[in-house]
Amino acid sequence: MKIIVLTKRVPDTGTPIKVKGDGSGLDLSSIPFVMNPYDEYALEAALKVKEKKGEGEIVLLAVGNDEYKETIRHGLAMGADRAKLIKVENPFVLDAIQVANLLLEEIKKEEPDAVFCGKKAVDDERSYVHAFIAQKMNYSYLYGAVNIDFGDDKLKIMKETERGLATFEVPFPCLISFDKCQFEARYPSLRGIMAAKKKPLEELEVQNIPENRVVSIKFEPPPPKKPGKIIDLPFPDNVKELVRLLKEEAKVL
Amino acid sequence: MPESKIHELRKFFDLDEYLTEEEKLIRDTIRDFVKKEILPYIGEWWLKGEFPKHLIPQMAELGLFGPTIPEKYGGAGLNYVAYGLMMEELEYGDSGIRSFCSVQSSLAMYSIFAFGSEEQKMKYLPEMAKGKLIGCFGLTEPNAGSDPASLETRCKKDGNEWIINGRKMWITNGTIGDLAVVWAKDEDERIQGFIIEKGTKGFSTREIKTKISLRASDTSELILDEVRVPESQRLPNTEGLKSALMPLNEARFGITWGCVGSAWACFEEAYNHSLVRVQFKKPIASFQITQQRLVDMFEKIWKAQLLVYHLGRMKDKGTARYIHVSLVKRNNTRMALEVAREARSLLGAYGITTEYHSMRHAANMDTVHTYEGTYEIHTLIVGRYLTGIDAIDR
Ligand SMILES: Cc1cc2nc3c(=O)[nH]c(=O)nc-3n(C[C@H](O)[C@H](O)[C@H](O)COP(=O)(O)OP(=O)(O)OC[C@H]3O[C@@H](n4cnc5c(N)ncnc54)[C@H](O)[C@@H]3O)c2cc1C
Repeated sequence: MKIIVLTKRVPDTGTPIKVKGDGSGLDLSSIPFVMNPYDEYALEAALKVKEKKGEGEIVLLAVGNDEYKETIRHGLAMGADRAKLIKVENPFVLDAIQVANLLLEEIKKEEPDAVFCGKKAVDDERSYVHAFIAQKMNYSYLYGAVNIDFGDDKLKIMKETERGLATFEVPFPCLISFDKCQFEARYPSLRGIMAAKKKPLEELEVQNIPENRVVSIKFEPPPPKKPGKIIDLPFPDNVKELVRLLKEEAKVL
Repeated sequence: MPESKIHELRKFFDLDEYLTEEEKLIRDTIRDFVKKEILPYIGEWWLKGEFPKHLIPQMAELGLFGPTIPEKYGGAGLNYVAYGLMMEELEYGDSGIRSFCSVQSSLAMYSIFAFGSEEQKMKYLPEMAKGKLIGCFGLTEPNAGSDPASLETRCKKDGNEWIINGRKMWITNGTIGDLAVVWAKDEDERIQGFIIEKGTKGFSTREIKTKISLRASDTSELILDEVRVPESQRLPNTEGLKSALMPLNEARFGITWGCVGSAWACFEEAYNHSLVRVQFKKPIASFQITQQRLVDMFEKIWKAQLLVYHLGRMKDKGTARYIHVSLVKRNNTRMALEVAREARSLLGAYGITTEYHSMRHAANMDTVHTYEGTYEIHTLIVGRYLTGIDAIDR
C-alpha cells in the first residue's frame, strides 16, 4: 500500500504576523515555521494505516523552496519513508491551481493507493487544492476526516457532522483530507530524527511553470482595535456614567 | 507581538546557522513536548512535590533515555550538541525533569555502559532506554558530600557474593528507581560499583519530602543493611574513585546546557511582563533601570549559550576535558541562579507564584548550583589547573 501525504510549511499559528510596510507582502523573516498542523494529522493517520496493515510506504510530497526540507525532515522523523520536494523559488506566489497541477504530475507518476492531506493550510486557508486533485484523478474523495480505521482492505473514515459522528467506507484509490482529529499526532522520536537523515528526499526541478493567474496585490493588517474608554470618576458617579454610556452610546441596554 | 520578538531574541547570534538539521529538529521536538506536556502543569507538580511519573513512557518513546549510547543498547547514537540541546529544552521546563533524565542517562545508564559487563549492558540498558527500568546513582552520603573519597559505605566479599552496608543521601530517583548504581569501599579501600535492584533484601529507601528546591523530583535516602548481591552485580571495569566521578562529568555537561534553558524561561517571562506591566503610566520596560536589567540578563544568557555550544562541539571532537566542563558548570549555574532571581524580582509580586516560572527556577537553581560538584569545588578544580597547586590536598 502506498500513501502520499501532502505537506505544507506554514508560519506557527501562535505567532502574530506582520505585514510589510509597503503592503506588498508579509514579513516572515523572524517567524517560526512548522508543518501545517492538519497535514500532521494526515501523516499520523497514514502511519496508523500502515501500522495496522503491517506494510506500506508513506511518501511525503510538497511544493516549496529549500526551507521546506526542514519541514519534510520532521515528517520523515515522524515515520514517513521517503519524500519528494517539487522545487520552486517562491512558493508564496503560486496560486492554488498551479500548486495542484504541480502535485498532480507527481501523484500520477507515483500511482498511490491513497492521498492524505490536511483539510486546509492554516496560512492561506486554501482548502480547494486537494479537491481539484481528487477530481482530476477521479478518486473517491472525503473532506474533513476526524478519525480513521483500516480493515478488510478498506478505509473507514469518521467525520463530525452537526448532529454527531458519521462513518464512511471509502474504497481505494482515494483522497482524504483531515480536520483536527480525535487522536494526536506523534512527536518524532530522537531515533526517528537520526533515521530521517538516511531516508531519501528527492528534489525535483521544474521547468517553465505557467504564469500564476491569481496574483496578490496588497496586504493590510486588520484595523487596530478602538481604544477602550476609562471612566475616571469617583463611585457612584462612575457607575451612573457607565450605565448611561451603555444605554446611549453602545446601545446595548 | 512578544512571541515573535522572543523568537527573534533567541536567534540573536544566529545559532541555527551552526546547527545541523537533525540538531535543530531534536531541539524543536523537545521544545514542543515541553510546551505541551510540561509547562501547563509543572507549577502544580512542583507544589505537590511530585515527579510526573506518568510522562515516563512518553519520554522513553521520544528517546530521552540514554540518547548518546549506541543503538545496540537502545540508545539513539546522538552527538553531544544534540544531547545538550535536548537538556536545554527540558530544563526550560524544569530542573527536576532535566535531572530525572540526567540521572537515568548520564549517571545510571552511563555507569553500566562504561563499566558494566556485556551481560549487564544487555540486561539493563535496553530496558532502561525503554523507561521500563528507572535507575539512580548513589555516591553522596550523610558524611561524604564534596569529599566522596571519604565515603563510608562498605562492601565485603563473601564467597561469590558481596555484602554491602551503609547509607546514601540526596539520591535523585532513589524511591521511584528500579535499580541503584551504588559506590562502596572494599576491604582494600578500593571503591567498587554495584547494580542493586529494588526488592533486594536489606535495601530500602526513604523520600526526602521537606525540600524547597527541585520539588518536582524524587530525592531520597538509600539504606543498605546487610545487602547481599552476587558478583555478577558488581561493575567489573571500574578503576576506583575515578570511575565513580566519570559519569558526573557526563551529567555536568548536560547541566551546563540545562542552565541556559532555565535562564531563557525566566528571561522570556520577565521580558514580556516588562512590556505590558504599566506603572507610572508607562510600561516598566521604559525605565532605564529595567532596560539595564533586561540587557544584563540577555548578555549573560547569550555568553552562556555560546559557551555550551563551543563546549559541545569540543566534546563531539573529543577535546573537551573535565576542566572545561567544570569551568562552564561553574559559570552557567551561577548565571542561571542570577537570571532567575533577577527575573523573579522584575515580575514583582506576580513572580512569587507558581503561575510564573522564575521563582520555581530560582529555587531549583540552588540545587543545581550545589549538586554535581558545588560552585566552590569547581572553583578549586579550575584553580588547581591554573596554579598547579591543589587547595584541597587531603
Ligand atoms: C536535590 C539534590 C539531588 C541530588 N542528587 C544526587 C544523586 O542523585 N546522587 C548523588 O550521589 N548525590 C546527589 N546529590 C548530592 C550532591 O552531589 C551533594 O549535595 C554535593 O556534592 C555537595 O555535598 P554536600 O551537600 O554534602 O555539601 P558539603 O560538601 O558539606 O559542602 C557544604 C559547603 O561547603 C563548601 N565546601 C566543601 N568543601 C570545601 C572546600 N574544600 N573548600 C571550600 N568550600 C568547600 C561547599 O562548596 C558548600 O558550599 C544531590 C543533592 C541535591 C540537593
